[in-house]
Amino acid sequence: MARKFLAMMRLEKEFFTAYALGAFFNILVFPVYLAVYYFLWSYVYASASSGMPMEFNALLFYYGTVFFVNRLVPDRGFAGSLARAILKGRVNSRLVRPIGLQRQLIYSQISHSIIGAVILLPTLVAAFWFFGRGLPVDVFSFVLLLIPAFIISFLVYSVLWEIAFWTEHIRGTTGAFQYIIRLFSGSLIPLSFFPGWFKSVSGFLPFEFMAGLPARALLGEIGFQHALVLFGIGMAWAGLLYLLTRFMLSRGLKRYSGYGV
Amino acid sequence: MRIRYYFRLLRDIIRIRFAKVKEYPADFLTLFITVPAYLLVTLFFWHTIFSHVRVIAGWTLADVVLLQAFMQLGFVFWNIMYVFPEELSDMIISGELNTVLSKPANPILYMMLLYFDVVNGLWNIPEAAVYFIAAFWLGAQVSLTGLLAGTFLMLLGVTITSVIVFLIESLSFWFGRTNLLDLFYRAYFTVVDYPLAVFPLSVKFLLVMFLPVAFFTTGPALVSLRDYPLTGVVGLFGLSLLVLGVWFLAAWIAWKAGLKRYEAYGS
Repeated sequence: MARKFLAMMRLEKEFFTAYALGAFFNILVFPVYLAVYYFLWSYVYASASSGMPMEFNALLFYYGTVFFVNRLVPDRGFAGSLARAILKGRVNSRLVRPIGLQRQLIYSQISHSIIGAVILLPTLVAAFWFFGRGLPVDVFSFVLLLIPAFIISFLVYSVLWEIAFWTEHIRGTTGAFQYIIRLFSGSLIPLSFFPGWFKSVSGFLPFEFMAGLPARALLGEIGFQHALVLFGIGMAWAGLLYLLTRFMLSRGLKRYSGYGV
Repeated sequence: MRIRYYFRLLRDIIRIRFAKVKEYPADFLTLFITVPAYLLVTLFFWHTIFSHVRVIAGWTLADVVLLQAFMQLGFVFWNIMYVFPEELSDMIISGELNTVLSKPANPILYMMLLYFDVVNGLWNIPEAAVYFIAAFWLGAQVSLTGLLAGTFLMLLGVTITSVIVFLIESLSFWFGRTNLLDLFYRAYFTVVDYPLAVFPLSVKFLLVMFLPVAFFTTGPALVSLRDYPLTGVVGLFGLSLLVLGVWFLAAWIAWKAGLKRYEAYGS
């Protein structure tokens, strides 16, 4: 199994080397992304009529961390490329490989994330350097919560691409989900800014695990003990989503291979 | 004769697009579920921000929603008319451009018609409509002539962006696949839905000349506001035409030089 994983990792590395420029562009977009939030929130903080739930620097560091996490975990692109593979009938070539489809995908995404983490680490360091130095940064809890962030993102987007077994395109579905995920994951704005009822609703959904919780953990807002509890809850969500993806995949593949009869 | 040829081509392409919708109606309808999702997310985002402040750099919640409305209206035109520049790089690399060049038509016009997708833009119309209604409901002070001027400026903004995309994609004549468009889009869509007023002057200059979101969202929203001065409107139109002219010239030179290089491979 380790050999297969290493082979997938090598393959992913080759792919990254071939299209390295695309990965490095993320680093170039980072200052644009942070500048937008910096200038927007500067205005808000300068004239805020009520107390803000977060310090300005902590908020910017939060956005920097979310940028990093969002690019490490599987995203809409992952779902879209697999949906296209179904549409074009290219899933066949994956099905005949000596390794299960879901395992291929998770190995490939893990490799993608490891290489991405190495390339994008400067963005996180820069966010820390400019905005996070005075904060009680908690790297252990952050790394711990990155695990459910990765697994839940992988499984949520797996559910989305598996819908393509029943429809021709998933653009509408992924588009809608992308917006919902951005809101509930805390990618757009930390959930602490929202009213209480919204936070309660969000507590019943798995999306905050995908970005907001790891970012809050790095800011030292959560603490290691609580991070362990959240890790357990995240893995329980992952278990539920795994069962759903397995069910959909088995049904979907039956339908897919039915076309070849 | 030539005009009739283009009209026939356009008519056939529109027929094909609608036939596809009939073939996969569920797919088309699922596109509309993005409308409430996007509305929910953006309105909630801005509402949360404006629950802490009344005005951001002179922009009220109603003005920002108006800006979003113009963005959605811009996507209607973009998705219908301007998808073709995004395909240019692939056409060059795959050699598909040969097919286009062999047609008895202007290649750019032919590509434009080939990717003209009247259906693709339809799903942005309800989005734009709901945003305009929300902006009026929130008290945006707009005039009819202002709205028309704003729409026209937004069209210029979409055209400028499309010309830049065309220029970026033309670089594939020399460098193959560059991913530069990916960078441009990521940067562009990071800033497009915020009012330019929040940025300092140096950043504003970049957002007028090199990442011209100014003419796509902020500018149209500004000129449609009732109290925006006429000199400002004229200034924005003049600036947009200047920016369009500069980028158009650059794109034209790149396209002509690129074509020469492309055709030389065949000799």
